[in-house]
Amino acid sequence: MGYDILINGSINGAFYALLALGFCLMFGVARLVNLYHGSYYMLAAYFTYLFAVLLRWPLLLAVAASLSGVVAVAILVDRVCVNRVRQSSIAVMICTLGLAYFTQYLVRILFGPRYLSIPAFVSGNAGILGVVIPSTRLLAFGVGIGLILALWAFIGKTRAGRSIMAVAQDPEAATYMGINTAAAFTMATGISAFLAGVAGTVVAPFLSVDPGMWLLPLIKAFAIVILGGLGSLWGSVLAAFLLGYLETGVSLLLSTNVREIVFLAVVLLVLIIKPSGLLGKSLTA
Amino acid sequence: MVKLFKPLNVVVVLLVLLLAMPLLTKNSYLLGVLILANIYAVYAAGWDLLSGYTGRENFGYALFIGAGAYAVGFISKVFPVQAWLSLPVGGLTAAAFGLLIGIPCLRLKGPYLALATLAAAAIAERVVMIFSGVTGGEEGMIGIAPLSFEPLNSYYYSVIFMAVSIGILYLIGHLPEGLLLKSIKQDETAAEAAGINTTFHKVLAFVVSAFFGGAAGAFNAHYMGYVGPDAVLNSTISLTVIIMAVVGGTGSILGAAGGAYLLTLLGEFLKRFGDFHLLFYTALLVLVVLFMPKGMINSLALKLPGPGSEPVSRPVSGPGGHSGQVGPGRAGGRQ
Repeated sequence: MGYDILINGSINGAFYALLALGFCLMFGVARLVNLYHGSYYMLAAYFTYLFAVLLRWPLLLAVAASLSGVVAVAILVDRVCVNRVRQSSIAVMICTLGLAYFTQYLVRILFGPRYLSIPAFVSGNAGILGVVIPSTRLLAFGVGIGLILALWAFIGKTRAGRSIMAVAQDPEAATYMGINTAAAFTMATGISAFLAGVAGTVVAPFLSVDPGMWLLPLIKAFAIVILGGLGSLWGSVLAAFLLGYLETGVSLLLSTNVREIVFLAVVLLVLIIKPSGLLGKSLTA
Repeated sequence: MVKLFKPLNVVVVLLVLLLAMPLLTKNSYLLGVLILANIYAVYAAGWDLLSGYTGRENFGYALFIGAGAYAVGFISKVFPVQAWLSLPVGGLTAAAFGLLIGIPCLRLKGPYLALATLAAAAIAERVVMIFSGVTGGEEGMIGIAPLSFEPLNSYYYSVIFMAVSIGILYLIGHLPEGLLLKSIKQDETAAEAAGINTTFHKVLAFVVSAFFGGAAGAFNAHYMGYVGPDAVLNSTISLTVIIMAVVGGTGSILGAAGGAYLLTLLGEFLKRFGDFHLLFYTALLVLVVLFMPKGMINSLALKLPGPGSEPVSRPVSGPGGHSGQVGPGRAGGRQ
């Protein structure tokens, strides 16, 4: 039982971290609450379906094309829509939410409302510490951890990554230091969409693919990011894993019915007691 | 001549038109749509009093609507309560929830409050699902006394309910209380420094906003004869209310209510496009947010010329005026 919670919780945690990191990055760098974030996750799954199933491309190529497509959509949304209303946080939230619904209805018209399945890279099961888990889930975990480490290295070690963090800390000062803030914004947007897109392609094979699949991950990512402290990347990772263990633990020990309620209650409680989140510094809304 | 277009005159004309509608058409479907529009107008106006005035966007307004409606559902299990009693009861139940949510969330705004209210409403929805023995779960509860057995009376009741509710909300919004609430949105610290008890006024706005949501939810329960998550508690309802208020324009009560009519009627009109109607609907929402940041009703009202309207310098701070403003996230600018 303990190992069950540890292993399945870690897998869910890595998935949640993938979703939440991009959301967190956008808030940290651009102070944007981008409610279109869940749609990247959905679009990646549908693009993969389009390329791999309908067009019968090789899976690796299909996934690469999907991720490029998602990043392109993200930059387009940022240029055409978000950029215009950046000043008002509520306008950004409503605009991106409207676009998310628009995308959902568009996808429903193009692909139909039914559940689809997309192919996975691996099949079969693997056993770890006596717990049997499907290989697809193990792959999702590996990819998730790999990308978290890659992001950590990118942010900490490369010039481009550090420029993003500099803009997050103080855009004006970053400009004075010769950092191109516009490029940093675009890069953060791309990375954010890429991470959510990867979550879509590695997780969609064992979850459902349908036009409404964006909403729940979006709410969870939102909650994780606030739980971890808006703008704190490592707070988000911490919160994602906590949520992963909590959900797995509750659904194994109690029932899947109460799983979401426990999670939501924790979020509400943290908001009321410590609105700045676990690792957040101060309340700047 | 031009004075005819003053907002209040327009409102009076529209109200008379609403009351005269049954004389103009015998189409009971259209009247049904208008009843729903009246209910949604109260939702949007009630949402606006908290969110548009104090700048605290409530993403879980359905919690208050649901509280009012479910209160009616529970009472109806015991005895067939009539609307005149259940509207205040539903409103007060929701107001209690407003107090319950409002006080702990006082410090929160922006995305924090959005998530807190979203979570609170989602918890309420799950609780209803888990205790399905009492609440009927997804099926909901039926057997609530209808407003009237005469459809035409139901229609008139809805117009009266809407007019009274929005009248009260409009008065609150245009009395000094409305200005106090707006001062909290502008600059809370400055408002406190000016001796305003912001805590009291924020809680008051929460409670009044919740009251009207609950009363309208109770009205909805009587009109549909049914209470269920899809009718009064779903997150889609919260989002619809926000969309209506924002499309109409926030911070003026009438703008938000107007948005409810616009979108309800537009939604009906677009239904002829089948699958595409939701696509058009959401596209319009995005366009309005992008090009009319003050909302459709507010933007159009400002553009009406006339001696009684705003001075010429108005457009500077109007819809296009924010372009010169540098927001916190934009400092440094994008080249």
